[in-house]
Amino acid sequence: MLLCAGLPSPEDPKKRVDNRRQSAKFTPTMKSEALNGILTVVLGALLVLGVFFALKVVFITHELRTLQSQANFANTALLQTQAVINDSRAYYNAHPDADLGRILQPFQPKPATR
Amino acid sequence: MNDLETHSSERNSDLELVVESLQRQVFLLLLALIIVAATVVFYLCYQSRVLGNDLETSRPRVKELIGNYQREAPTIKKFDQDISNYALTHRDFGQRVLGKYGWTPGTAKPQNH
Repeated sequence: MLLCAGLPSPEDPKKRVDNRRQSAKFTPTMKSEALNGILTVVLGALLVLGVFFALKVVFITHELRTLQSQANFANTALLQTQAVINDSRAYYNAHPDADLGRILQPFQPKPATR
Repeated sequence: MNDLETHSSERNSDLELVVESLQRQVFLLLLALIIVAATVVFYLCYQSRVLGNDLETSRPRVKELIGNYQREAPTIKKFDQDISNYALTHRDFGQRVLGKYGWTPGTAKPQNH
């Protein structure tokens, strides 16, 4: 009788999960999913940009450190050599020696041209 | 039958609330994550720009300094050899002048010209 009346029967597998008369109203999930999708895309783009800039900073820092160490080495070598030349010249002035004079000859200060 | 329908609709409205709350939470968390990521990206972008400027300004000066050193390197090397040989034969000079720079007679070998 119930079947003839068209009401859903609990035994019918089709009708057991069919709650057309008791459908719940949800907020528009499609709109929410679209918004979340957009935010996810924006987040993905920011992550890619973050990785790109992080790698750029790493490479620039590495190059800066390399240049700095090379400059320090060159500067130290030049300054130390200049200091040895100055001390040697001072010693030569106090104790003139032909051999020392010959060694210091290339480093004699050039007279200023007028 | 009416009790069943009422109970079922109450459960559905509870589910609605829960789903709505979760959606709001996900949205807010995504927003917060985007703000944090944007802050980090902005900082990294600023750092890369500042460091890039530093690199561009210091690179020519460093290249010039290294160029000067490489040009003078043979002269410096010859001077080092000559002064070390002189210090080996003139101990007073070796002790008073080169001793200040960590030179010792044992470290240098005489070079034959």
